[in-house]
Amino acid sequence: MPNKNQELARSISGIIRQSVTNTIATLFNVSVNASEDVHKVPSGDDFVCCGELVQDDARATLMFLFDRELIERLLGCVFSASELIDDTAIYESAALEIVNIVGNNLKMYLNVHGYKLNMSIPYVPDREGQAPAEEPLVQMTFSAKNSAVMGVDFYLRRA
Amino acid sequence: MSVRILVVDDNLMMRQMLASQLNAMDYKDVSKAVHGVDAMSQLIDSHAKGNPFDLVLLDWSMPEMNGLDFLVKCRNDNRFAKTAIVMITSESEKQNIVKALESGATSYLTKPFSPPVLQEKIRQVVEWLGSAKADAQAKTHA
Repeated sequence: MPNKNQELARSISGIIRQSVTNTIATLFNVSVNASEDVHKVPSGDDFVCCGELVQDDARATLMFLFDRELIERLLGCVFSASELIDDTAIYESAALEIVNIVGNNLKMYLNVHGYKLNMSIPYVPDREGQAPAEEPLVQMTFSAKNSAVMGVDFYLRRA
Repeated sequence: MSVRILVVDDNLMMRQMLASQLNAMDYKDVSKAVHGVDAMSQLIDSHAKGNPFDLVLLDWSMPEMNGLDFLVKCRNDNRFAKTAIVMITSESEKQNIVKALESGATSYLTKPFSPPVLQEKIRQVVEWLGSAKADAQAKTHA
């Protein structure tokens, strides 16, 4: 029989899967496939963005690792090459907006289920110390046409 | 009807995406602001020059001055009391939608939204702007 943490992890992975696929399809008209594979460790060419959901005795971290190729592909669907000149800033802002929307969907689910969490403005963490020390409760991988990928980790800490 | 639109969002991609989508819908007079303070300064400046904005697409969550503070400030200023303001908020913040409408937002959009949803919202608001202008002209001539 699954314990409470396993049930929560299953529900959260369902919310993340639905929210990520819907957000990317709506904003960029691109289909992504989800799996619960362990994704690769970030390289220097990836974009890492985090969203924090906080309440007095609990803190949840949603960490997205974007393959540069995926962000390029997504933005290439809505912007012309000339609009993507300042690429790093616009790639980073695309990643932050996806984290913001998915984080808020997760907040809505967790609020209904007893966690009165508030979402802070998403941020790009320092390269060192970007992942919390503990194991993620949920780890997922999304891919577009089986090549460009994005990893999503969800951490939940209770005091 | 020619419509001047101001897009207010601290997120670079969202600003660019909204402006591009509006241009593609044939709204060519589109400006961008990075937060509420920047937006207020552009509203005041354009009004002083006799070329005011008709419609503001306003993100809720921004640094400096957030969307709600900007909205309240506009509605308390006679110059911008009738500017159409569409608040953009996340689906999780249902209470934000209520607050925005109570504070005088013309309408709202929840993120994420597709280009057809944006187009339909703008069409409705432009129609509303046209009726509001016609009413104002009728009152002037009465």
